[in-house]
Amino acid sequence: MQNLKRSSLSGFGAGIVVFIGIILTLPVHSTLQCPTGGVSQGSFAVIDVTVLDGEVFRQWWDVWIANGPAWQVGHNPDPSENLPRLDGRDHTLFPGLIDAHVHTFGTTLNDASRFGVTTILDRFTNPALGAIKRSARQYVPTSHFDGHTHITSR
Amino acid sequence: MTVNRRIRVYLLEAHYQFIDVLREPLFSISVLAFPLVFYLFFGVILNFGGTSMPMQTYMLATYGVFGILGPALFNFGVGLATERDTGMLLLKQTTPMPVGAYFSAKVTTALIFGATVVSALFLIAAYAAGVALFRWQWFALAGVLLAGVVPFCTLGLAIGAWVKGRSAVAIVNLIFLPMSMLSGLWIPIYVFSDFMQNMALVLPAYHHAQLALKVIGMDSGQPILLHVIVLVGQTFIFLIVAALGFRRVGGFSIRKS
Repeated sequence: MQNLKRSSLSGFGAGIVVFIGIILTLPVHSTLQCPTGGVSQGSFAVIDVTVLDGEVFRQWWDVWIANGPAWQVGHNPDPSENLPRLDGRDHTLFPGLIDAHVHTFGTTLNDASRFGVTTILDRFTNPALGAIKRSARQYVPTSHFDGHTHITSR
Repeated sequence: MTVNRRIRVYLLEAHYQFIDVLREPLFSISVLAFPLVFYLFFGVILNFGGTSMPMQTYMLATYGVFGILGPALFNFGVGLATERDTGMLLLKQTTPMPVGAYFSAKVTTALIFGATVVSALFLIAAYAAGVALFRWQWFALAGVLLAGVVPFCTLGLAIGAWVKGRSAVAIVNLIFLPMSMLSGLWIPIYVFSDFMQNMALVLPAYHHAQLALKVIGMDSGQPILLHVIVLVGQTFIFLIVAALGFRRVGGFSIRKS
């Protein structure tokens, strides 16, 4: 009987350990990879890139991305030595675009980031869908460089 | 009865009730497979939301509630009614076992099945549907889901205390399936008309689902306190209903040993 008690206890304990172990193996946001791979999210520098500042294309600029948004832009902003550096030659960076008239459905929001649109105004949407779409923001990488466009969210 | 002896009785009763349920593979398999298959179909294969509308994440929370609801309702509702009809309950009452051990074993069994469903759902969501949450969200979601065992077990207890074994499965299904649907566990609640959405406010599964959705930021925006108060209040109501049912059939006598 004592053995049965011990085996019950160890069974419960093992179950709890397995349950916690399973949760610990699940993917978390911090380990998400950039869709294109190879470029870390967060902080990095893009060197010798063409930058559109809204009016003018500025060539051979360096852009220092710090935890998502652009932190310093210009010639030789002297980013930290430890930052990953990306070769920006033959590429163009521009601020996230705003699409002011959108009707989203299905997977259409996926296309927005592909075309550099980071802000949309959705029309005639069921307000109840808003909560889900707002939460979808966290699924967009805070910073995304795919070789053609650079996107920083919000 | 010494504390050590009491703990042993509680553990042994939980152990044997769990084995008893495992010996009914149809029950175990259906309770485990039902939410997983539904999630696979509606959350993964028929994923109408796309990655921009993370329906997989939304449904992970709601099907998690569904997965907790099933074992709790069936194990308590059907199990209790059947054991009362077959005389097993009476037999247990003739033993020195404290009445709490019987209930605690049923809750533990529901908890083990619930944890198994939640683990499997998490694995499917993470590796088949690409769901990624923050670490604290995984743990909080698991905690909130498993906490739902308490109100759902008391609902099962209330059912089991009133219905006969033969009709228990039908009655539990009559409550289980419509409540799951109307609480937005299968398809999002906002798809329903305002009338049906208002109707969901009286259902415990709706409030539990909203708490689970709150963890991942996809709830309807009502305050946490509202859901907690409703669930605690309903738990007490179910307990009172169960007590009345047991009094009617001359049920449990509380031992002081």
